[in-house]
Amino acid sequence: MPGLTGLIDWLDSRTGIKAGRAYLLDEPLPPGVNWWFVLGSILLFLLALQLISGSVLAMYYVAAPDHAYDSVRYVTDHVRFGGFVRGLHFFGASFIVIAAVAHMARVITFGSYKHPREVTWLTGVALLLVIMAFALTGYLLPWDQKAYWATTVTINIARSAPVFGEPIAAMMRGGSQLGALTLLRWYATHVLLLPAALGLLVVAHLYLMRRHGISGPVTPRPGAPTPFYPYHAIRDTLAVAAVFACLITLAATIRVPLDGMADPSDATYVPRPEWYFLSLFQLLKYFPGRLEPVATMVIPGAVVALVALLPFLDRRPERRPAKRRLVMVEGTKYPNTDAIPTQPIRCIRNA
Amino acid sequence: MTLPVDLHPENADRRRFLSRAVTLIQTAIWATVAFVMSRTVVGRALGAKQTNWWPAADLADLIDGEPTPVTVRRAQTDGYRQTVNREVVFLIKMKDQVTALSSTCTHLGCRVSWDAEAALLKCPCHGGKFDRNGVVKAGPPPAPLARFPTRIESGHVMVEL
Repeated sequence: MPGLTGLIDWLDSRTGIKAGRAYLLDEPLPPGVNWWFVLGSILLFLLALQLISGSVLAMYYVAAPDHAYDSVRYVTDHVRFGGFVRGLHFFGASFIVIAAVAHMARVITFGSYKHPREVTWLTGVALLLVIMAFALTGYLLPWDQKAYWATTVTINIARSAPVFGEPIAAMMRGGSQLGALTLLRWYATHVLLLPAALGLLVVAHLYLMRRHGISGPVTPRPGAPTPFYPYHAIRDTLAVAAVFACLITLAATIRVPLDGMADPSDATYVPRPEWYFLSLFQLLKYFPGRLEPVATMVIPGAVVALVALLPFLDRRPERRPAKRRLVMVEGTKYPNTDAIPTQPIRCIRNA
Repeated sequence: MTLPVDLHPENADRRRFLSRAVTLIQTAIWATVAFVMSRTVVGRALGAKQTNWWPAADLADLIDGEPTPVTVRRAQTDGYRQTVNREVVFLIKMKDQVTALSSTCTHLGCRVSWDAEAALLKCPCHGGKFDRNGVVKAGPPPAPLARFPTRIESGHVMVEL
């Protein structure tokens, strides 16, 4: 199509899109990059899908206690594909947590967080926290019984923190009780602040990933590097297609639950958190009374700090899992050969 | 020296095949997403507008030949809400017949009003003028005022909106 070619040439002369495309797609990958390296792309796809489905849902959502529940019920039951899109958003959140944790596990197993990728790791940990914050703030929005009471518990957990507990809880509530102001600020956080933070962190993470190159297999393999496109892009694409197929199957077959409308006077409702917060929920049972902050603040804080500081605690260049037993989960076996720090590879230009 | 994998001539066919596969699968994924999302965004916006008959005025209150503005209250579904909308229509009685004209200017949607001296329905925004039958007499409106079906029931004028 000469017209299209001409248009692309014109755009290229003004913007340099051809060089940009080449930079994005011709990333040289070290030999041995395999299916373990598709997890980041899956995560990126799921985040993009979540952004799109969330934007569509926001067109129908009203962030006010009198209307939130009805607006969610309307989009679920009366808008064409509305229930399906809500399903994509609901199950997509769980998929993202799974993909993020799997991606992180791969990075830990392969020792990919080590020098010079410490900051890449830190942006990844921050991304995981932002993802969890998305899950937490999104939980309240349907304004059903589950949303109301789970958020009540969340705010009371924050309140149990020593010294700053009450001010933090007050800031989360927005007013003297969980109500319209709470819903509005959680919605604003969910659709404005967190997406902005997510966007910045994703850009930073991808920039650092390109700057240092993909870490590659634990031990460098002999052979020439290959460009990302299409040799690894096909793996990414197939993996994304498989995940997408699972997600749309779930969204199409399982109706996203919506309890009765939030009722602050109901004394019988027992809230349960989403599965990815169940460990914290369980932890609370082991530290009753005055020890509660140990479960709500100290242990989760220590775990996050430990994970974030991993590259600074494990500074040896050794990447073989078997030689890093302290970091690796006991009993997990991975292929291991020689450990040599990965070096950035010069970019290939296509012939 | 080993050539990069991509530069080997025998890889050209494989590269082309993989490129096409990537393009095809990605297109299928994003086309699915675009289809679902666009249908949800459109929602009921493009569906047929539901109409009903609403009481507008008593026939005896209308002056022969003069457009009389009346406010019609109609209950309707507005997304997840049931609302009562107020819509102004002009009723024009001619002997036993009553015509209902929309008060919305066909130019840019401003509200027209009856100027008895000029015997014209005038739009305050851009000078659109219509006669008592809704026909454009002056200004930028591209079409006559919309007409609504009417019927008389026991001395009451009903309008279909």
